[in-house]
Amino acid sequence: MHMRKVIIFFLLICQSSIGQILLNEIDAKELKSNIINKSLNTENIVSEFVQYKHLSFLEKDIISRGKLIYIEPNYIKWKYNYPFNYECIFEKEKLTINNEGNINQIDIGSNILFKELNKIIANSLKGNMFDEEKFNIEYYEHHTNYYIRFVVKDISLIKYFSAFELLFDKKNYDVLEIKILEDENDYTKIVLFNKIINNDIN
Amino acid sequence: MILTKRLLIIIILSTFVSCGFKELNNLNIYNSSKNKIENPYFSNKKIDYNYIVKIEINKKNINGIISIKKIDSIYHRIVFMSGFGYKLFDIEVSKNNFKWNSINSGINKKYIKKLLRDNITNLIYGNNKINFAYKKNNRLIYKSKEERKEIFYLLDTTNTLIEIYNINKGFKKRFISFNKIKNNIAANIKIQNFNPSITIHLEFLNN
Repeated sequence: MHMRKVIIFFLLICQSSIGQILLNEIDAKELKSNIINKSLNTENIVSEFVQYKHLSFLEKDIISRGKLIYIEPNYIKWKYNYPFNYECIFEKEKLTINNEGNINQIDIGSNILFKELNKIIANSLKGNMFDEEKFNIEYYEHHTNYYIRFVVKDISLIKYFSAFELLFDKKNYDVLEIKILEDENDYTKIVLFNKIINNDIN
Repeated sequence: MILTKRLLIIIILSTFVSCGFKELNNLNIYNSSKNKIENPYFSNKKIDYNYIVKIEINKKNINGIISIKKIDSIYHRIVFMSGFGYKLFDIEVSKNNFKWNSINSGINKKYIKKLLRDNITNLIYGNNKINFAYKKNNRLIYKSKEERKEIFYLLDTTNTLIEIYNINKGFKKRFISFNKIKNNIAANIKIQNFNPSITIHLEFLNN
């Protein structure tokens, strides 16, 4: 009995130190429904972002910054302004890369990596990527945020990504962070801020 | 007959000029006790050597970020990423070993891998055994020779490595210059490949 109390005590400490609680099925379902409703009303997003590239062997993450524009259903423009000017536009089946005036257009129709990356990022910007055929999905609650982990189970994707993690604002279900895990050690984290949803975009 | 002779002379002269680097002409032999040269630029295990990369090839530019890190006494880990953050290649390299952890299928070609391997080993290691030493304009030049491959290391007046010249079978192969050097970090590096002509600019990223 004494041992059981000790174990429970340590489990509570661990849980509070991690700071996130796994949601039960009913709460997870409600969260999913709220996020989908929010995404259905999202026509466009303009946001600034900071990108942290984490490589396990480096002391510090590599930081890039820029602005992104998303227009429903499949236009995404990543406009980097630090550490160098670089534009990446996903539109339909085309990826256009603007390297300081040098423009390359790539047909992504046959490229699984780009095609899926485009789809995943478009869905994750809206928060709606609840594809249970492709992912095992876990829902967590944090003090001020929800956090959903999408573990890749689709074999064609596993060689590129192992999981995705989305952090949501608890008040309005806005996506605050997108984390793309390549493997257990390395990831790209994109933190969105100054986000404007459904504004007029010319 | 005269025309043929003139043509032959022109061909011989132009071949002679195009084979080597003019910077390495008229070298004076120098007696040096040094028998080894170290490249100090990627040698500190505590430093993340992150550089913005600009590759000029066939009038096109490719940009990205490269991370070079000395991970132990033998190996360096090197990852090259697009601006978007996805890895184009990930390798572990030592002087005699080259292990590909991953390479993007678009660049997974034999000649590209060889070019990358040659550029990276030349940039980080080279062949550091000195066979000859020279002096020109008060600056030291060390030469490392292995069969028909020659590497010249040019030091400035403070004995800092500033240029590497790579020659293979008498032909110019590669030229590397290290610029804006401070605390053994070259903030600016240029790698010029000849045949095929590819120029790579590296700019140190301090974030």
